[in-house]
Amino acid sequence: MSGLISGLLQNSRALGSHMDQVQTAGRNIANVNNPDYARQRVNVGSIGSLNTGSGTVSMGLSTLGVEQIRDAVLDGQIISEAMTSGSLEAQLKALKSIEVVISDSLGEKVDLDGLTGATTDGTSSTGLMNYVDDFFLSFEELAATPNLATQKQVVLQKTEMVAEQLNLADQRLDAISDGLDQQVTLDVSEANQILDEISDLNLRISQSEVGGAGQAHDLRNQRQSKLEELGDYVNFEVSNHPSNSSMLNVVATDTGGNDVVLLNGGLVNNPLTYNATSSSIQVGAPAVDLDISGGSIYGALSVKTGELADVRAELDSFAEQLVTSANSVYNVGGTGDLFDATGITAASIAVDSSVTVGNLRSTNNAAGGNEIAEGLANLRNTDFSVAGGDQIDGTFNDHLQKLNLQIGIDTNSVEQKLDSQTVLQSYLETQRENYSGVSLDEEVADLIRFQRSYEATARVVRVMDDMLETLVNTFT
Amino acid sequence: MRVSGNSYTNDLVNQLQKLNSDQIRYQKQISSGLRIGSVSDDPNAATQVQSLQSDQRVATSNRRNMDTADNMLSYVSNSVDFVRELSKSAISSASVLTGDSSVAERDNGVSHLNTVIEQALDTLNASFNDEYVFSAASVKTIPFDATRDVDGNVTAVSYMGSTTDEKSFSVGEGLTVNSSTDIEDNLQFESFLNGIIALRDSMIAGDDTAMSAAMAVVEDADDGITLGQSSLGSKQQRLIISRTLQDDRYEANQNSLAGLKEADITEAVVRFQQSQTAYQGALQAASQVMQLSLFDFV
Repeated sequence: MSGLISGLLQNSRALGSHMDQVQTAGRNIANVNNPDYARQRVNVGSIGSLNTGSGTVSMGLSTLGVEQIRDAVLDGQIISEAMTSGSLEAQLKALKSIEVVISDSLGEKVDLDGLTGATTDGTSSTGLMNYVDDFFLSFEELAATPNLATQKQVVLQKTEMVAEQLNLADQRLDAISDGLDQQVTLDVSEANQILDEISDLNLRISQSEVGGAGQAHDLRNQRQSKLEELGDYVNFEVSNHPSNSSMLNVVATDTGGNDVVLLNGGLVNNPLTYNATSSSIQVGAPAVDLDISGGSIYGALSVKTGELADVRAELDSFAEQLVTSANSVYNVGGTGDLFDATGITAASIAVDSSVTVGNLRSTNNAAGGNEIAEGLANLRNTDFSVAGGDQIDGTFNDHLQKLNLQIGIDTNSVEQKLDSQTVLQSYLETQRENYSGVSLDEEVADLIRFQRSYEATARVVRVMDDMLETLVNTFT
Repeated sequence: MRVSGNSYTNDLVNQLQKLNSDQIRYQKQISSGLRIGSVSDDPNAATQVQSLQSDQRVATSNRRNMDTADNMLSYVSNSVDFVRELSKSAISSASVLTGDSSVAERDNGVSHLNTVIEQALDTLNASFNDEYVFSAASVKTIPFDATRDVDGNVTAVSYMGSTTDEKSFSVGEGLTVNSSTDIEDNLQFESFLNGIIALRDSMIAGDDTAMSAAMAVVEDADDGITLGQSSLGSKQQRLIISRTLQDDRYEANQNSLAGLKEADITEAVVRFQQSQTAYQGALQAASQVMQLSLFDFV
C-alpha cells in the first residue's frame, strides 16, 4: 500500500516535470522571432534515492531548474564588434558627405561638339578642380584677346566663381562639422539613456534573483540587448558587480588609462557629456576626458578631428597660395590686387572690391600687352613647394587632386572595412542564433516527446490508481 | 549543424540584401552608362579621370585660343592682301607717269596715291577684337601715326607699335602663336607708306629721278609685304596642323575617359541578369523552405 502511494506521488511529480517541459517548449516557440531571446531548457533529474529493505530506490523525476542557452564569449564578441561597426558606419557617413563636397563630379559629360565652334564650353563645372581650371584658362584666353571687354567679363566671373566655390566648400564642411557635433550630442544622450535602462534592468534582475543568480532569463536577455545597443555608440568594458552577482558594471577608460565606472550596478554614477570645443567625451566634475575608441561617437569624432579638419586646413592652404601667388602676378608695382589680400582662407577668399570689368588688367604696359594674363595663366602649371616657403606642394591641380584622392581612398577603405565588419558581425550573430536561437523543428519534436512522456506517466498513474482501487475494494 | 529559425531568416535577408545591392549597382551602371560615380568607387581610376578631364578643359581652352588666332590671322591676312592690292595699284598708276606727263594726268596720279595712302592707313590702323593688330605687342597703340599738312594730306608716316616684342599667346602646351604680322613686316608697311608719299611728292614736283627712287622704295616694300603674306600663310598652316593634332589628342583622351569611367553595358546587363536570376532563385527557395516545419506534419 505504501509503495503504491509513494509511486503515485513520484509519478505526479514526473507529470509536473513534463508539464514544465511542455510550457518551456511553448515559451520557446512563442519567442521564435524575438532576436534578443535565448532558448530555454528544463533540467530534469532524480530528486534522490532511498535505501529500503529491498535495496536503493529512486525517489523519482523532478524539475531541477530552467536553463538559458547562452554563450558568454559570443555575447561579449558581439558587443565588441558592435562598437567597431558603429564607428565604421559613422565614419563612412561623414566621409561620404566630405567626398561629395570636395570631389569633382566624375559623371560630367564632355561635349565633343564644344570643339567645332569653340564657342560652347565643352565641360560642365561641378567641382572645385573645374572652377580652378576655368579660372586659369580664362586668363589664358584673355592673353589671346587682352583688350576684349567680353573676355574680361568672363575672367572676372571665373575669378568670382573660384572664390565663391571655395567659400561654399568651407561653408559645407562647416555644416558637416556642425552636423557631426549634433550627431555626437544625440548619440551621447542615447548612450546615457541606455545606461539608465541597464541600471534599471540590473535592479530588476537583482530583485528577481533573490533565490539565486541566473534565473531572470528574460530580463537578462533584455540587458544583453541593451549592452549591444550601447556598443553601437561607445566603447566600454563589462564587469561583474563586486557585491551582487546579478548586476553588471559598465566601465570606460580615461585618457590617462584609468578605469572610469560609468554604471555601478543600479546607479549611473558617471553619465557622459560632450564638449564640442575640445571634441571630447567627458565624465564627472571636474570633467575627465574619456578615451573613446569605438562606437558611432568615436566614428563621428575621429572624422571631425581627422579627415574633416585636414581637408579644411588643406583648402585654407590652397586659398592662401591662390591669393598670394595671383596677387603677386597681378599687383606689379602696387597697382592693386586681384584677390582681397586679407582673405587668405577658404572661408574668406574674395575678389578685391576694387576690381571691375572696366579696370581688370591684362597688362601693366600702357601701350598694350598680355603679360599679366599670361603670368596668371602660367600659375596653373607652377610647381609650389612647402619647403620653399609656399603653402602647398605641387601645382594647384595636384593639390586638389591629392585631396580628392585622399578622401576617396579613406572612404573606400572604410567602406571595405565595413563590408568585412558586416560579414564578421553577421557570422557572429549567426553563430549565436545557431547556438541560442529557437528551432521550430526541434521544439515541435521536443513537444511530441514531452507529450508522449506525459501520456505514458499518466497511464502509469491510472494503472496504479486501478491497483489501489483493487486493493481497497478487497477489504470492503 | 543546428540551425535556428531566426538564423535561417537572417541569412536569407543578408543574402537578399546583397543580391539587391548588386542589382542596384548594375542597374545604375546601365542607366547612367558610368562605371564610377565618385572617387571612392575606384580611387586610382577616378584620379586618372580627373586628370584627363582637366586635360580636356585645357584642350577646349587651347582650341578656343587657336580659333581666336585663326580669326585674327584671317583678318590680318585679308588686310595685308588689301594693302598689297593698293600697292600694286599705286605702282601701276605711277609707272605710266613721267615728268613729261600732263598736269591733269599727274593730278589724277597724285589724287590716286593720296587715296591709296588713306586706304592703307585706315586698313593698317583698324582694330580687331579691340586691339591694333599691326602694333605687335603694343596692342593699345595706333600702329601708324600720320603727319599731315594744312590741306590734310599725309606728309609722313611713323610706326608707333612695339619694335621689340611680338604679340603672342599660348595655344597649347609649350606652343605659342603670333597671330599677326611680324615687327619687320610692320616696318615694311611704314616703308611702303613713306615710299608712296615720296612717290606722290616727286610726282607733284615732276621729278623723274625722285620718282624712280621712290618707286624703287615702294617696290622693295611691296616685296617685303609679299614675304609678310607668305609668313602669314605659314602661320595659318601651322595653326591648322596644331589644331588637327589637338583634336586628335582630344578624341584620344575622350576615348581613354570612356574606357576609364564608362560602364561596359553588355557586361553590366549580363551581370544584372545573373543577380536577378539568383535573386528570384533565392526567393523561390526561401518560400519553399519557410512554409514548411514539423508543425505541418503533426
